[in-house]
Amino acid sequence: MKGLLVLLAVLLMTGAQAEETALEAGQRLYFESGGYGCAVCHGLGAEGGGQAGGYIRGASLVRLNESLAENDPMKPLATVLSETDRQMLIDYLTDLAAIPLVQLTFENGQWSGLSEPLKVNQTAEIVLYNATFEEQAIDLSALGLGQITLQPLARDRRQWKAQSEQFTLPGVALGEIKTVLPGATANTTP
Amino acid sequence: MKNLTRIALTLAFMTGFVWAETITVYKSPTCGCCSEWVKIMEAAGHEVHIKHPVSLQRTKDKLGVPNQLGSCHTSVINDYVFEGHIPEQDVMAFLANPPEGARGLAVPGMPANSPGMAAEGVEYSGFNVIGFDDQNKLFLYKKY
Repeated sequence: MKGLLVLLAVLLMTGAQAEETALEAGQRLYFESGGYGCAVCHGLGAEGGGQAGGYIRGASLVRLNESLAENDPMKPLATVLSETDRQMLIDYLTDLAAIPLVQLTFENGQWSGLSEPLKVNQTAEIVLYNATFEEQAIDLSALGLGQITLQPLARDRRQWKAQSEQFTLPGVALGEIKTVLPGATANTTP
Repeated sequence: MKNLTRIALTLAFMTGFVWAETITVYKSPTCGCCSEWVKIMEAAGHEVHIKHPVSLQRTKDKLGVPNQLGSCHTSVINDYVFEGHIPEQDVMAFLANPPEGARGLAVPGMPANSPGMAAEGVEYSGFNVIGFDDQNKLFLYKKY
């Protein structure tokens, strides 16, 4: 009986380990590295989020290593990110770079933002930010995401499968941006 | 006790005394900009005790930091909660005269030109100091 339990425990443990793919590990590192994650400085979708770190979708390993060596806020992270960790982070950011990004912000009484060109039948991502002190809702039915409500100053991030290269949303002023190169800033938030 | 502190702080402000506080800061050992913020608070004469909890998020939840206001470090002074890179003068002004029902202040995320993030001598700009109350209602405390 005891042997069975041990076997079961071992099976469960190895099962749990096998569950996380390298890409999921990269995502976990993105949100948890150093206890606060890359997200606090680079945004929920590595799009910058109006924070100090800026846009890093598609960033290279060389660039990450440079930052870990030279950039003051990032230097302490060099001690906790192994070479494998760094590669998994870069794989995650490379994966994100292939996903067209839409950034929408609610301020001054309306939603507005920018969209990278979408690819039909491929995953696209939307990052939302409510920059006001009132709850705001946005109708994303056109994307199949339904209505999303954001608490004051809240952010949200969703993915969907694009049905066309462009889209319109009721009451949303949407501009188009070319895919942003790694290292450039594409912040729409103030 | 809070009232006593408030009176003392108000007096300190009126008479131009530098009032020193005891601050507990919860941060990650790998957070450089948190340490820069701590240095600013220490330079202003405050006594800072640093703690490295296993889970920062759990600490923030326990202290009641609204999710959308999260930054890298969380400070506690006299049972009030201060999240992120808040200018020292705002922390002191808040403690001297806390808005009714307020539980603390926050500068969400890591704005580039905030204390502990900005290069020395650079003017603080481009971020808001947000207040939050016991109902988790948010309000603008100060704009930079």
